[in-house]
Amino acid sequence: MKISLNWLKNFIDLNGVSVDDIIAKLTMSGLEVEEVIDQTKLYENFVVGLVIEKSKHPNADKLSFCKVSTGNSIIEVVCGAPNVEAGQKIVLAKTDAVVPQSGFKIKKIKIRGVESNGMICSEAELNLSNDHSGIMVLPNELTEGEPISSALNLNDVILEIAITPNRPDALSQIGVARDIAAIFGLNVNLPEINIDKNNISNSEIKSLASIEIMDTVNCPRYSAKVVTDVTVKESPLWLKKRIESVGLRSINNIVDVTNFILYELGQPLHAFDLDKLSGSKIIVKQAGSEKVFTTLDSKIRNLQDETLMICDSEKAVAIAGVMGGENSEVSLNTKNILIESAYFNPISIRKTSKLLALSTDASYRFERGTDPNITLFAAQRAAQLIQEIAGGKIVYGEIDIYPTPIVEKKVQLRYSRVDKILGYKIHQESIHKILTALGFQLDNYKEDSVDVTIPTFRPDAEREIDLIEEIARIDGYDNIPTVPRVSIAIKKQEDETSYNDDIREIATGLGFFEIISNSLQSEKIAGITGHPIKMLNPQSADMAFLRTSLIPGALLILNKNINSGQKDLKLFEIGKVFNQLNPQITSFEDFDESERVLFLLTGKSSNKEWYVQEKNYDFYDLKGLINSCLYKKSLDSVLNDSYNHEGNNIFEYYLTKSYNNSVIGTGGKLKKDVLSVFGLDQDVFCFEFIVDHLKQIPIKEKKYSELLKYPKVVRDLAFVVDINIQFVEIQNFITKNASKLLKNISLFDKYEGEQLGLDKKSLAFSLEYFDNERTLTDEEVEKDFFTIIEKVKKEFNAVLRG
Amino acid sequence: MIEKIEKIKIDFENDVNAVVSVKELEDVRIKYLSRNGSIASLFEELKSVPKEEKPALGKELNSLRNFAQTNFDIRKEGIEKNNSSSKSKLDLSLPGREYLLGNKHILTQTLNDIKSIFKSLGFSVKEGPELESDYYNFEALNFPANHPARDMQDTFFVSKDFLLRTHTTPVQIRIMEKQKPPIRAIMPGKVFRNEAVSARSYCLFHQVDGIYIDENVSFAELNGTLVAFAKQFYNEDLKYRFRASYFPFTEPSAEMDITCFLCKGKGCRVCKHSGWLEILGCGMIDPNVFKSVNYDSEKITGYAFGMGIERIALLKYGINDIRLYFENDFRFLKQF
Ligand SMILES: [Zn+2]
Repeated sequence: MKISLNWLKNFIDLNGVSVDDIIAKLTMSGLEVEEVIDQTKLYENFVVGLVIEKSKHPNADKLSFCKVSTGNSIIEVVCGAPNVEAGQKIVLAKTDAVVPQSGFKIKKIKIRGVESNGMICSEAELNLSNDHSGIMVLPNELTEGEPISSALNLNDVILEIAITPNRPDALSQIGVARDIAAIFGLNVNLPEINIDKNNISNSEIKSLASIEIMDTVNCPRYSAKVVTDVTVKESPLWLKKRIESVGLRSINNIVDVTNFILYELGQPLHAFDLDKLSGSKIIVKQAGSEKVFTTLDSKIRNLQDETLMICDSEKAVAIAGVMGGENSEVSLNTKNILIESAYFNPISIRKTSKLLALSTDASYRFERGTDPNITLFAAQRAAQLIQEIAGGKIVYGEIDIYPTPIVEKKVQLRYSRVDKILGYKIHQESIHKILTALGFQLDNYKEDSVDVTIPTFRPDAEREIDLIEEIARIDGYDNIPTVPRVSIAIKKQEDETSYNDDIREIATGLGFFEIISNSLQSEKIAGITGHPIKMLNPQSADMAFLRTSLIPGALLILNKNINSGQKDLKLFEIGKVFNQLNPQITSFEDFDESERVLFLLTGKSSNKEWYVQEKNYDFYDLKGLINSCLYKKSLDSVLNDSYNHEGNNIFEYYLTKSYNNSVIGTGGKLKKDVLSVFGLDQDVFCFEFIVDHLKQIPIKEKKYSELLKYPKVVRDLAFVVDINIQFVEIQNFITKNASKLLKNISLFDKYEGEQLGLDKKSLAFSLEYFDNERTLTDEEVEKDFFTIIEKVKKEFNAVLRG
Repeated sequence: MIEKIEKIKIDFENDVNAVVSVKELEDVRIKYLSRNGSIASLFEELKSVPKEEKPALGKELNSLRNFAQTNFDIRKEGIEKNNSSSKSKLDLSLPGREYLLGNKHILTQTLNDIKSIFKSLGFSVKEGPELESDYYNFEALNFPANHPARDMQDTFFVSKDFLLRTHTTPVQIRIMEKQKPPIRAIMPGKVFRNEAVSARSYCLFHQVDGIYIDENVSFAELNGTLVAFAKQFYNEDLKYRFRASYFPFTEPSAEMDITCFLCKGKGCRVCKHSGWLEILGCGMIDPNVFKSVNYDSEKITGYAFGMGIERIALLKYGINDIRLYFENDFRFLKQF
């Protein structure tokens, strides 16, 4: 929202208040000034010049060479505009001037071999209009050499203010003036309606037009004025400048007045060509059977049944509160005008604006809430201004349909409540002053409270707490004392993120790097690992679905890294994944949101070094690292591992870990055809945990156990067995068949080779015996050891080696 | 002469300590301890000094010879021992075997810094779902349907009533539904905004919300807590300001700015020439929010605040493109 300080000065005396102060205090009070355009600075080094001589550029047909007088000196410039002539007063940009349109700084340059020391400007280059057809020609009475900021009254300061959605009242010059007045203790004077009797026609408005509201819920009030015999033409300079200063384009004197009022008072108006309204009638009703409508920008709009329309006796003439129609637009031939000044239900206008994907200055204000009680005043002011600049007569009287007036709310404000919420004291007199300046009315003063009547231009304020905010923000948040009353925890401190933080700690200790990838993916990618949920309104097809697993996102990241030469990666991610369970999502039961942890390995686990050969990551790196992680989190013995060699749609082969028959995670070597989707051709091993299931594993209790006092006895042996017999089978068999003295079995060597035959392998085990109570005798260990050897030989058809 | 003795002592010490081979050992012997060595030649010189100086210098010289011989022998023993073993001498200068430590993502690290400050202030840490209902994300937080406040947060919808949460604020409703005051908690997590991806905005980011709800919680205390946080997180003599703002779920609302640390408040591109950087939004919890969880807002008051982690890390570490966080280039990950 652009605010012109020159415009504001019509309602508020800003003498003695600095621009910097206005900017700082407005920002602090909630109207954040985002940009300041100081025209005096903007037009520095732009002066009025007189073209005293024009000749052809010697080397270019379309360029001319001009000598421009600035009073005390003659400046030679090359000009490309077709309309430049000797004797014209023009705007000269001297060297060091910065062209507002382009930000380009004027320097002494050679153009086709001829030196140019400045530039003659067009209106567009000066940001004064969109006209770039030629240079701007100034009135002859201006003095050469005078800065254009003073010559053309370009001395305004424009503030670009970010208006939060709760402050529709501040979407106008008057609204911002009110805040400034409250902050600086000034008064706001509304413009006055002052119509000369000679400009009022004898006819009565009711004889010229009639209005009917069929939907009073969505249109609680409709006010109208009529002006006859106007001349539609270009606006006078003062009006053009006002509306251009707030970023609008001048159209004609009638439309410009409606826009002027909109920006001045915040009340959107619409001017109809009264002669184009069939039956001279306005009917406000829902579109119903009307399905399409052509707005004044010549676009065809599709309507819904409940879209609120402005109609005449035959047809629709405007989309209420959003945009007028082509069929009733004011044109150069228009003579008689009906000014619409209405209050529409914010929700209705917002729905229409959303449906049509059409946001206008009017709809933007209506959907935020305009003041229902300013409509008539705005219509009258518009009528007066139109009559003043377009001639004609204002028709006597007005039409004002307002069946159920919207009354001002009244709220009790307790001073004790102000203190309680803010935690510091603001004096009663200050409170009264602030509220009054903002347009609130106070009465029923009591020792500990006052009754506050809330003006209808503040739809955001309706409760005591809203008044407290008004008081605090105008008093200034700088006055909030910093109370360092930071107490200790009240209850047992919980940290729901601590489990994941532990995993991160372990993972980084094991050398993994954490990644955070995008949860939004393409259907193709998200669909690999589950049933992805689709966004109704995605930014792009690449980000239209939620991830169903952390694997695909990580593979996208691998692809990028590998392409940039980072081929050896050890990554992990913790994050949510989503799967659709039912076709329609109407409750939390229709989808699954599940937290996962992914560990991923690719490339080389060790580079070639002087002490080690280069080695690629393999399945056992993955398995070992996973187990190392789990070792810190749980008792490994409670987990059950199962192996799958055949693979599934994702893995070539994989390992599943479960606890109490519930899968806590799966991982293995990713399939080549999955990798190829991501353009990867190096092996990738990864494992994904389901965090909720992981959390069900009892955490290893920290408890002291007596240190072993007696020696351990270790016996090694190696079997040659069939190559398809798995380590775990023999391990389990030994565990089952050995005595209680055997405490540990580990594999210390594995060998396959031609000497053994291609269908054989050798597995070397180390068996550890001990007892917590006594030293074992050789005999009892030997006995158990040999029993096991015999049993294993028989069970697995194994041959003892060496 | 006494200076010569001192100098030879120093030179000898340097030379003998530098010896690593038998060959070098022999060189040192010849240079200092042989018949023509520098110590022997000093004994020659001694003959020609005045008689009265002889006893003292002789004593010094003998002590030098003993010192040199003893240290030479020690070194000799060491070198021979090394050579006599079958293995070759250890090259201690070879590169060590390094174990690469991993790294938490810079966003996690930043969040952890924030968490640890608030935990020290007695806040619990709570989480909630990312795929939320319209009710928790908007309705219960005083964003009525069809209210323009909803335009403040561009939303990804997955159905009419379900969406990707646009802030972590819904978690405060979930906590209040389960718990009675006093409540003091922060709520970190991932949030989504339906915005075009660029250097300055991404379709998702991370937020931390915080609440303190009790009897007699005030705006001034909110101020105190956040100033305490900012001073710990940034620095002790940080300059800040609270500016009025608007959030549907707080009333009054504020934004907290700190002095731009790039330009020290003079104004630069990063702070949009204002000299200030916005770091968080906050306010007193709106009575309508309490109403949706059946708290009595006459008795109970509370504050809430929220900040974006990406933005905070961006400012703290000088990261110039938000997309870097989610590209996870290994060269980026390794930097932190
Ligand atoms: Zn700065």
